[in-house]
Amino acid sequence: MSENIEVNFRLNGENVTIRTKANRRLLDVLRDDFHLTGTKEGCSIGECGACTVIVDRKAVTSCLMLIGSCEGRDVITIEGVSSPDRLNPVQRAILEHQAIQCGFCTPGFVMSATALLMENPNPTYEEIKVALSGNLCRCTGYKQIIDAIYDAAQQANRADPAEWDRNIIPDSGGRPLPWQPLNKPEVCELSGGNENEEQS
Amino acid sequence: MYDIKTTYNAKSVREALRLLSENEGAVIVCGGTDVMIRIRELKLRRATLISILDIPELCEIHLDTNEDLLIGPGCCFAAICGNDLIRAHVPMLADACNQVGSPQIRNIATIGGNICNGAVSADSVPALMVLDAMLELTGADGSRVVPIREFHTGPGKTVLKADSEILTCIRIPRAKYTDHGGCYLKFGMRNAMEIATLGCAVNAALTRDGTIRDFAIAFGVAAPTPLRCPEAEALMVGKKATPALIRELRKAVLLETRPRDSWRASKELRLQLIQELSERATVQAIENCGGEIHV
Amino acid sequence: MESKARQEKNTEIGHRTPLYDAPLKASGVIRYVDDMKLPRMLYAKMVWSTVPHAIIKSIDTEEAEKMPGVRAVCTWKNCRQVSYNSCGEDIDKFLTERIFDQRVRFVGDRMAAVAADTLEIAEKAAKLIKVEYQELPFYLDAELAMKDDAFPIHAGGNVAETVCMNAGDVEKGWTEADHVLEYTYKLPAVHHGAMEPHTAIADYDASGKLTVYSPSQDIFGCRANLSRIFSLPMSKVRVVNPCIGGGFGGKIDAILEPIVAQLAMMTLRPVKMTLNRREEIISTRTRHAMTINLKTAFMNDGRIVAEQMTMIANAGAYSAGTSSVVWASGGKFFKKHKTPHLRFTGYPVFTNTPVAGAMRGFGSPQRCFAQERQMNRIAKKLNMSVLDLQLMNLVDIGDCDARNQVAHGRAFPKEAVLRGKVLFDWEENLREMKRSQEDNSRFRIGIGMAVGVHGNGVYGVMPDTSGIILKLNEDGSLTVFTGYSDMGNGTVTTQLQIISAVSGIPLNRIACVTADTETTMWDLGNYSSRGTFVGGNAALKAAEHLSDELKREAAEILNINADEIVLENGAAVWKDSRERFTTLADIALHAKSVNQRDICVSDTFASQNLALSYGAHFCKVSVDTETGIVKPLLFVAVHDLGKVINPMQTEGQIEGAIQMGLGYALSEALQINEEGKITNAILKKYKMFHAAEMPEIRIAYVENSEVGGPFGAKSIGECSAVPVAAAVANAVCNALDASIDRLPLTPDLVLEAIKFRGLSG
Repeated sequence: MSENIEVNFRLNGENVTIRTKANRRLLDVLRDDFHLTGTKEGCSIGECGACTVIVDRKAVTSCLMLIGSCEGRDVITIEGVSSPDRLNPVQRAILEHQAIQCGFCTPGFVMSATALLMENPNPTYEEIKVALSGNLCRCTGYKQIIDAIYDAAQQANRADPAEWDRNIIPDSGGRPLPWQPLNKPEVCELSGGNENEEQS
Repeated sequence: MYDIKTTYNAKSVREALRLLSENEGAVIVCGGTDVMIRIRELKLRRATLISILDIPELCEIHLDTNEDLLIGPGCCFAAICGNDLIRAHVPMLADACNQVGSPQIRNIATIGGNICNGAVSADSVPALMVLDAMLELTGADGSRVVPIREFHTGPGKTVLKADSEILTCIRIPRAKYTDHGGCYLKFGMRNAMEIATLGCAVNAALTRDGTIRDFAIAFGVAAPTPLRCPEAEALMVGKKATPALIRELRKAVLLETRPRDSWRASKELRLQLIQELSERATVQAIENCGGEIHV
Repeated sequence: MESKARQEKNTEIGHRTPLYDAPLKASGVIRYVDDMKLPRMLYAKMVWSTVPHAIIKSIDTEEAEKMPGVRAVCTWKNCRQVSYNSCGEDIDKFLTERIFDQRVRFVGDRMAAVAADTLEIAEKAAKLIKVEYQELPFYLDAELAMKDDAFPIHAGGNVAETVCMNAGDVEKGWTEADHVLEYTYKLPAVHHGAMEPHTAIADYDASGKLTVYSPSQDIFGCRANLSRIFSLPMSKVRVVNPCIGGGFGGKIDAILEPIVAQLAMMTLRPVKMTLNRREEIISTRTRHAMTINLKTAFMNDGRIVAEQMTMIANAGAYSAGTSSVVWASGGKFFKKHKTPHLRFTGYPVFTNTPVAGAMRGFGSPQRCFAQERQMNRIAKKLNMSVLDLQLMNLVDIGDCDARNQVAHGRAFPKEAVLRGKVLFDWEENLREMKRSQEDNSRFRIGIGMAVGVHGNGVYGVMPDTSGIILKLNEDGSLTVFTGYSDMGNGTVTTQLQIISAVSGIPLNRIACVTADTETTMWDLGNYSSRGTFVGGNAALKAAEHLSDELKREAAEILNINADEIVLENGAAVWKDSRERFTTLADIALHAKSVNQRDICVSDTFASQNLALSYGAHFCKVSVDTETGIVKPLLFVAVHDLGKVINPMQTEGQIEGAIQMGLGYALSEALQINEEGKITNAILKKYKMFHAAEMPEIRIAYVENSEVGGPFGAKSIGECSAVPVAAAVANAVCNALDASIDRLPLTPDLVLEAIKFRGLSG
């Protein structure tokens, strides 16, 4: 039997303490104890990147990390960068570029890309490809994903860098991002002939 | 489920050594990426893991008074790739470390783990071998220094006393990087996430007239352990780098390597690759130390 | 001007609309089955056979059962012994599987399952089960298994059936022709590689109702199987697909569902089982390994007069969808070229290897590989351009299947080839290839192409229907009930776009309930490239029905005729004056208060024709003649798909297909050792393509409205996966002026071909 250990770490901006068995991975604790199920298990050996989270500002695969080694670290999961009505710029770009199909790999890609943009706000296509080289996606041909991240970075470069960092990780003190659902007009009533046709 | 008894986070080398002596069969882990897979594949059972990831002195990179380059084994690959000293003095090592696994793996996996696992496919090892790296192994009674060339004894086997010693420093002598040019080439089918099918490192230095004055070549996955090819090296020293010499090198390296079939590649492919990568790495290394291949 | 702008705004067709569930997926909150937990839920672990073929002499579960926390152990001795076919499409033929059988037929076959309070306990208990085997002869190679004296893996022998299809008289062709070529091609089994492994939860409640949550592509097929296995009326079996993390055909079959159902019925508690990647690779489904012999007779001018294909398909240990795969692949043998004399013979063969089933392309990537490699050879032999050879032989609009004179529909493969030629810059790349050969350079450039064909549903094989329910809510918003589950390929989004376009209800006022046998109408399933063609049509039909109902109510409110009403932007408007309109909320209110009824329509669409989709793929590679590494540089795909409903989804489908096809061509194959064990069942060894290895991709469409397609659209999902590997292989072979007739094109294989050709290196 595995012994119980106590681990203190920062999870999505909150200090947490957990007593758990030493044989559990960060991935298990995130999914089963904190119910943060956005982090997925796809291969269990660090090859597919579906379980990618950000630890101390670096992308890591949570399937290869024991909970014991998280002591004192800062862990951010997909839930820490967004909520359904408040996507971070990477997620928004991913949505707008259809860089999603089945969605199972998506949180991992978002985390890899977010870590990249935290370190390098102006990546080239090649740098993006390298940053994503630990993430597998079987649905897309990656093109839409790379385009999306490039696009998100372009937006970042137009923004104030400090602001951008807060936007990526909302709980680091930034203001919530208004999620723009889709580029469709919200029209449920007509008001005669003076409706603004160009509204979008 | 992972068959792990317990885990400790050591805060100093002394504490790690104490935990190692107190827990029979305990295993030192740093990033833990390889150990996790070994546990998953049931190659390691009832494991007590002692993490040395939080020992600050094992995560430093600096020059000592002799200007030897000292690398803490707890440095993750990403840290090595991004380190200014490494990039300035041994860019080949940065290249090799940059070819390990994925970005996520490079952010946790460490160079010390790569060495101590004894894996024949470890990307950092051929590079360290041609740099004549010295490994400091520390036990309760003090340290001993072992050249990396003598470290690997068989597949997954090393001279490290796993129950009482920890790799505490990797030293690259100043003489081996000053005025040298190096190159590490890895063969893999994909660009990313590839375990080396073959890895080849060359470190070379030239005299002012372009004669090779120092030459080292090492391979991963060309034999049961990573290895240097001393006879091939001897062939090169004191000569001008010419296509004819490179052709001789291609033949010579075959005499000192012993590749085998595996799921990654056949023996025939590896024999072919040993020659190819020797040539390419040598040409590149010589260019990197300011020379060129004389036609 | 105004009305045109209005129309464009009101129509979703051709719009780059993101997936309807994209925000949920991007934020990670969408719930896949493995993310679900039910109260008192147990966790199950399977015990797998370690031998390729054996009778279970004894199985001792006592120790496992005694372990605290273990709630049930299930083996062949205590499970329902009903034979079934896991594939819904083939549910009435080749009933070779049972939940657990006394016989195991491949390494990784199911032998027992344990349900326990925690996964850790289940795993430990599973290891305590002891089995004694009486081993039987086994076959890993279909050609050995099909010999007359081979030991039968199933009663009835190892050749499940002989599939014969004929048109004209090939014998006549052999004598008429100027040339005859005959070659044999070998294709490996590959893994689907959906990022979400198979998983299922079963819940059997006090009323005797079984509910199964599963990422199934075929919830109704799964329900039918569960109903039969457990003798439950269909009203007592509910299969729900909450969300699916990739299918590609691998999640059509009922694999885990019967197991968790059995365990739930034994324990009266919910039971979940999720496979890990190793289990996923070994014990779910694969694409068929095939050996294909192809004999082609042709004239000096390139006209093909006769072609004969003999396909040996390795079904693995159980039949699953194999029969349909071979029939479907054979059928498409008659739909690409004008060849008058054709003969197809297919042998689905049982072996002691992992079970093969549906996978994107359904037998066509293999057939296409053989045919298109042959085309490349013929062109070379006749010293003509392969493009001219294609243009001479590909079907035209109006051409028919030579077997039965059924028209191919509006088929434009030649246009796809011509468009591709330009987009690829064929002539310039051809010169580059020749230059690299003349220079004898180390990196050889190669170009190659292939044409693929695929269907749109299963019309002609069985009734192909989809049902849809549309319910107008009191506020004028709409709830859609569709039997489809969106695998990410955009089927449901396409349906919603069509419903929005027809009913004028903006997308953000439409929500949907998907893939639930209890609440959605019957649907054949998410396979066979029927999503757009059949599912889209179902949406169109139901939306038109709904529009009629809306207009009927609106006509009463506005006091005008229904046919004078236009539906747009969530309102019913008088076509003559936009001043006169009523909102959908008012319509719903009027229906309730005045006519005392709900506005709710349900409709079933039955496909009435088999349209065909074509695609021409072009690939440029660089081959390192010294290491054998093939690097794809450029990939062009031009598809004849009727009409693009959503360009963003279409691009995603094609790019994804290219990624899968590149893996099939260059790096993916299940490796089985002499003991029948898969030796590369982890993603470190099973190599799928990453972002960094993808070539530049260019995509174009031939959009000539298909008859019977919604807005003229036809399928893309599978067609785009069919010719990829063949195009890559032709490029590699052309680069080296060599012939490689098997996949994947590993460095070993490439170097061997180079040696054979006596090239440098």
